[in-house]
Amino acid sequence: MLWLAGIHIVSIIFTAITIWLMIRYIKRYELPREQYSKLWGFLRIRYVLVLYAVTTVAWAGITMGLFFLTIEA
Amino acid sequence: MTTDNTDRHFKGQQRSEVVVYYTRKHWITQIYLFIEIIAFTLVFGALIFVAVYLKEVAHIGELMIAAVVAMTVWLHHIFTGFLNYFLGIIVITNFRVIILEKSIYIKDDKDVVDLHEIQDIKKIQHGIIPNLLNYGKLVVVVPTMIQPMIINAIGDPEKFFRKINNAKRDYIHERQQQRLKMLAGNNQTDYEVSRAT
Repeated sequence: MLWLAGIHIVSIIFTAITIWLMIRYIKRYELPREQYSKLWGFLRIRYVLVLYAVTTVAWAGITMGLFFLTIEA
Repeated sequence: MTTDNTDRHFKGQQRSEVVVYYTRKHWITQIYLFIEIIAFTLVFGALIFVAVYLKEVAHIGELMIAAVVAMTVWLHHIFTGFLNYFLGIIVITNFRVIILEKSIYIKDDKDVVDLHEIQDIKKIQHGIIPNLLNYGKLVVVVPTMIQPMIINAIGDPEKFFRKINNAKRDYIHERQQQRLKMLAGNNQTDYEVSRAT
């Protein structure tokens, strides 16, 4: 269980660093808004970043819960 | 007073350089991520099955941890793949065409060709799927380069093709206007000198 917690802590730190680097780059080099096009017509960068953060935390919660309820029980 | 556009929209942007048009690669380049998402979901389902029904198997805990580590790395690979898509852009400015291929951690490539150096531009859109989904390839021929600059998987290549042609024409026209102004300025100076004497 401790191993799993350690892995997920590293995973969340990696996600935080990635999101920070991405936001820093976008703020520094902002392309003209009037030409901005979304991926598949709706997906913006910020949605992907939020989804990334939420998925990483949810993945940590789900796997730890699964491990605790099945293997450790 | 002219605006200083140095590094305004992309790294390496010059002082009087203006972004005319920019685009990213077509979404078809990210289709492999969709396939990976589906595969990830299936493997996750298998992981739940193993955890619930096979928990009596020897060393199942260690195997589960190894599987979770592998899947965590996979998850990060999928999301960084999506984010890297947004970092790769092709820009047309009033001076040049720039291909920026960047990733968050590993890559930061730039390929540049000046507009006045472009000899020929070809749009290639072969196949049923490229024509249905409207993506193709642009080949920019430059006499000084051994190989042409190839831009693969461009969405709406016709629009990009027109933008490069228009930008090149505008660039040539502006250079001609500047030369004419310089010549007119020199001619006026000579005339005033001749009148004075």
